[in-house]
Amino acid sequence: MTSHERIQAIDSSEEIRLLTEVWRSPPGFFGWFTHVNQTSVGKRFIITGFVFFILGGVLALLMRLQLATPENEFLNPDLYNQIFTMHGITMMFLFAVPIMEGFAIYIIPLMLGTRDMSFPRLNAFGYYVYLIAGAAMYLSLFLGMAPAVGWFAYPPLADAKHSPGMGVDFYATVVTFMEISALVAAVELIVTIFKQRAPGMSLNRMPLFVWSILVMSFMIVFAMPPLMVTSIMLALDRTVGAHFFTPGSGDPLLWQHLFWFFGHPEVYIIFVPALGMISSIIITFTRRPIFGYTALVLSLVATGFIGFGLWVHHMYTTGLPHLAANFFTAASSMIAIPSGVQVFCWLASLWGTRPRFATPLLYVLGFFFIFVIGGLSGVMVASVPFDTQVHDTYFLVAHFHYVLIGGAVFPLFGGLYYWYPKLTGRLMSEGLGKASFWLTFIGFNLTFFPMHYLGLQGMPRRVYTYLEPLGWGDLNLFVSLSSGLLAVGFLATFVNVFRSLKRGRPAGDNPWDADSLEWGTASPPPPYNFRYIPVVMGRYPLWEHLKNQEVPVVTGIRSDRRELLVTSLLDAHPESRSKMPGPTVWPLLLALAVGIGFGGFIFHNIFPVVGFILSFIAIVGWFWPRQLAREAREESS
Amino acid sequence: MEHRDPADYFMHPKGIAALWAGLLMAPLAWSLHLGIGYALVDWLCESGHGMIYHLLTLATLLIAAGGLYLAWHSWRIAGPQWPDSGGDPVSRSRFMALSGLMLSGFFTLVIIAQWLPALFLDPCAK
Repeated sequence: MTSHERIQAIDSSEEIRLLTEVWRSPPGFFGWFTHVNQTSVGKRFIITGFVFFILGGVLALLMRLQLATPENEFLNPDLYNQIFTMHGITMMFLFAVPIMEGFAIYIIPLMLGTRDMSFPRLNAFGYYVYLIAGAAMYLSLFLGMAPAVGWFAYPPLADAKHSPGMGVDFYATVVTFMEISALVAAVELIVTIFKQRAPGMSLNRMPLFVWSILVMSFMIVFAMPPLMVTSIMLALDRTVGAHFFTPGSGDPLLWQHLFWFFGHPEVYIIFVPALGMISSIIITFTRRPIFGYTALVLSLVATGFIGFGLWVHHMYTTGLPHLAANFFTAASSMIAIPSGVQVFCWLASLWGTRPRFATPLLYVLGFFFIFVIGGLSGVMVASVPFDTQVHDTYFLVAHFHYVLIGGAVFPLFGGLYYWYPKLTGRLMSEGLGKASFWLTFIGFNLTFFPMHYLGLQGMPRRVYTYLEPLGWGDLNLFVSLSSGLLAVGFLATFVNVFRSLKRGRPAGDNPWDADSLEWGTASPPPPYNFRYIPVVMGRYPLWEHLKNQEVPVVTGIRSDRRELLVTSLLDAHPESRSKMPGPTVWPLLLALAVGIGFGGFIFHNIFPVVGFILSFIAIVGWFWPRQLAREAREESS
Repeated sequence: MEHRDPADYFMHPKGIAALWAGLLMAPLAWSLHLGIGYALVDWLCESGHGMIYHLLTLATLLIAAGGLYLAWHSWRIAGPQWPDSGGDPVSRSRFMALSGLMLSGFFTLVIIAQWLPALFLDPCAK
């Protein structure tokens, strides 16, 4: 009998009914817009993230169709530029960061043994901002107004003179707007991790996935503001003739500095949560404690810091002094140390065990192979002379896809197979999962490995076509065909997702015999997550619970209102109870108001003022103390 | 060591501050070294005062060494062993202290790696 079942057996149905009533999300179409529970919001982030992943993937296939043969006229140059720009924007801004946050929002409160995130309404607000921003970007593509300057939008190409039209205006304002979503999620995650851990979960007992999300969240807090500032500066350059990035009066390199001060940590913002997923999966499928817990935590923290010291390695060919560039070569090479430590710790964890080779673990093993290749080519391009040779060639395209798909997407898919039973209550098909893994793994390597060679042959990035005498046609055709195989591999997982919703085997609470607290409640979790807040007895709480006859729990949390336990930062000692807000429509209305302010700025300067006034009204509605007044009335009566 | 009850020490602001300082001083020193050093390169070229960069390196190494010392000091108080997964303040502090010790060592290495190019490269070379 699991601890959850034991609790269910001794519990009164009246108490359960009360908790369900208090924590449930309103049903129906209009109710949908009022949900604030972390499981609802997290699931929305995940689903929306995968929708954007599919859209970004379709754009990639269109690019590969265009490049399949030399001098192809399937796409015209401007549309090709819009498509590769939107592919980058989609994958970096609309897929990778939000989906990692989505998994964090869903899983972290469960893993910490709490009932919700610390700021549920802010959580919902973040989702609506993300949804509106993503929809606006794709609207611009369908209207033929998408930016065509790359996801990095370097001035002077991106200034008003060289990129007339509204594409870059869309980019500058929507990117600023969108990062509000990332920031609010990061702040909530930090507070939740620091203040809502189950009693007993001291810092040295925190699951590695929680550590990875903590590092990711701090990175977001420091990396996103420079991007928001610089995209506002670009918008001002374009709309009111400021000259931040104009050669002479300003400096185009200022953009590159600010952009890459965000852009390089962004890679680690995507990659670090994946490292946490890998650790969770390895612990579960080897059924033993991880090797080198402290070293793994330190590697995550060191990566989080050093990730901010690498940005200039994107700018080696801009004419910087050699000495300055070499500072970043040093830092870029040193980051291989924490990455290497992690890989060796995972290998040591797998060593001598008889792991279950289920689909999540296969994706992790695929990660090892692909990420090590991406890491090695990363050390190569950290060197100024080599980077100068391959800069802006397909070698770089190969390198960063090896790092990003190998380092983040493979673990993410492993995480999807791993946590899907918790989200839905059903297991995904193992057969289809393994087929999907092998198709993806083979398709990925056949697609991206030849790009190293194309790059060394001198094929530049971001070109919509190439001439036949250059001799790149055969390899490009091979790459394009392989990309189809890769797409089929991903598609198989999405088919598996839909098929398993109804036909998947019922999962039970803990189908993998995993160690962390999210598996200590029902699948899918009830609206209140846990009937009793558990007390953590070790680093692997569910395995510890199995050893003991009695499972200690927290009592004294009210069931007749949304209430959480607040614990201390270092030791997770109980400190206080916190009342949480319930469902409301105000986060949606505020997101719309802020969206009108940002989006309207593209068309007229009056819209920020309109957006400000509407936001003010929405914030007043949000904070209106109606529940306090109601409670006061109830107490007096 | 002369110290009183370690659990008590690590529950109070002084002990907790020492743990955080041990964790964060070396990464802070590294970020100062990179940020200030990078901003100084043009000035080093124009003024010819290459020694300033070496002094900056020395200053940031001293800050990192301060972090290293605090982390080592805390580790000694917590009992110089490899951290376990105990839920008490001493176990948690040992984990933080050893983490600080290793992070300090690593960032000291990174500062040295960033200093080495200055021995060979002219700040004016482009």
